[in-house]
Amino acid sequence: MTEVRFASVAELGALLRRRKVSAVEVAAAVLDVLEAEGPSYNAVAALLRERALREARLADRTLSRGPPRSPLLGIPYGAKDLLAAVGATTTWGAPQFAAQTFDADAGAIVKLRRAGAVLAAKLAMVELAGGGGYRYPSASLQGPGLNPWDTGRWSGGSSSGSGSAVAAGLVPFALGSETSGSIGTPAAYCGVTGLRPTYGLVTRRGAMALSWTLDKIGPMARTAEDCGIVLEALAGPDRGDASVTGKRFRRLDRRQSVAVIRSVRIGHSADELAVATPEARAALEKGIAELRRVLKVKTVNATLPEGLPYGAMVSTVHAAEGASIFAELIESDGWEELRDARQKAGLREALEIRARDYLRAMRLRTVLQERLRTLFRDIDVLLSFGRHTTATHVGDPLDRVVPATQAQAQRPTGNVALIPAGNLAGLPAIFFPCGFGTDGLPVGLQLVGPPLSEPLLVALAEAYQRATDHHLRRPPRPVRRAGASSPDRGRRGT
Amino acid sequence: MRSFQLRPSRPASLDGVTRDERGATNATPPADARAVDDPSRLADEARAQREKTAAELRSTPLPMETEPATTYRA
Repeated sequence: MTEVRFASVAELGALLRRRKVSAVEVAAAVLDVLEAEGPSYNAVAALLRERALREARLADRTLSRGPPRSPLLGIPYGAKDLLAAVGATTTWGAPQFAAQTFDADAGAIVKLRRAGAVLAAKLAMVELAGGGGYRYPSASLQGPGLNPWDTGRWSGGSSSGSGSAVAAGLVPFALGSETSGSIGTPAAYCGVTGLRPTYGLVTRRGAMALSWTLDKIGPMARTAEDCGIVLEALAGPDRGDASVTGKRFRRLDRRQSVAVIRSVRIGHSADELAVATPEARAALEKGIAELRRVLKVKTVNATLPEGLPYGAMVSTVHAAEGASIFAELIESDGWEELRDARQKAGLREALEIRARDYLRAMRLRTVLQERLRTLFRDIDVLLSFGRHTTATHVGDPLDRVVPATQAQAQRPTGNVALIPAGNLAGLPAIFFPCGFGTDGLPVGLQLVGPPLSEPLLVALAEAYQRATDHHLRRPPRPVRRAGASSPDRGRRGT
Repeated sequence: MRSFQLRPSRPASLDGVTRDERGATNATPPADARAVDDPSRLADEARAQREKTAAELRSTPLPMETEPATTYRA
């Protein structure tokens, strides 16, 4: 596994094409490491050994007929457990759905299967993607997502298993999903690259719905190049999902990339570093300076539109939509089976959100979209940090006051609301590592562009990664801790 | 799409920077004798949060002609 583990999709593809290794050998190695080390991070919801080996044998047969058309042929991956897949349970991270199965694959998994990728595992997630506002990382059927860089820290959510599995080298890439921060947070905390596509670019057929107007499926991988390769396979029409635009995604070639990077206008607000925690601040500042130097660009001051209550907007939209989706479950006795008490209370209360408030939030989204359209006339992308902090302690409540940000609460804050704002407007984002905090944990940046600007975002992150090695760093091998798989491990005050 | 201008009413808030992926606020919870995970306390906090969120939305200026977003793509 030495040559295969931690290899990028592009590198693995080259090995497979040269027949240095077979798809079955790669799949077997990935399955073994998922089985052996997945529990160290509570990363795996289900292993699909039989299916993966079957798909790998098919890939080998195709490879034997000549150079493959798809760069994903024979490449194993894991999918967040909110995506339906034949051959395993699809638990949505919640006890109520522990035995749930589907007789068809989700649209995203179908697309990857057609591209020859090999589904090796379903990956753990926060229960119901955290729609009720969970308090603890332990809000998951599979237990708290543990960070490969320090298993005393959280991997981030709600795509917790996807972040850990990629960071730990258990899979070359994974599928995650984002309603508001669920790709970005685990990407930043685990030091991997995550791509949140434009709303409507990737099919959500067969995916658990939390918020029809916010949910997006996207890749998480070791490199921006890999995210681009996976998005090429994922994007495109799906008659089973009315929200899909049918647009495709193509990576820019090197010549095109050089041209667009030469003229790119990057907006950034230096103010926002003030809200970063002491552990993260210096590394984030260094990362931003490094990005400017590597891309040979100057940033211009640009901030999100002021006067919009981003947090209130996004929480109202996804809570109201989530409560509608899960209304019958919320009102049933089974609701109490959820792990996280705050999540239960949050979604139950969300049933009481008034139509006037939901609609006001939706009307404010129109205002936001208009104002962002104006902003993106003057710049091509917005640059910010992925998260303002390194990964939090796995036992810490997530609604704990963060002193560094509390002190800043009344000051202008630049683009710190970029995650809710970007999601409300359906904008694409790429998250990528840019260094390590003083506590040794990864920190990362994000770039957000207008709708369908993924080619530019991938090109920028690829250029940064060609000149840096933050994304190549590997976490320590896991030390199995007693009780690591307990869902209540590390909970405070219980 | 109609054009309009929204009057800035206050600085951007810190919403969205908490470590909760939902973007919950950083408000310090009021003193409460009940255990932090007591269901009745959580229910009260959720209600208070919903009301606070609604008040924030309602106090944000919004031109009458603004329609809800019906598409989120290019």
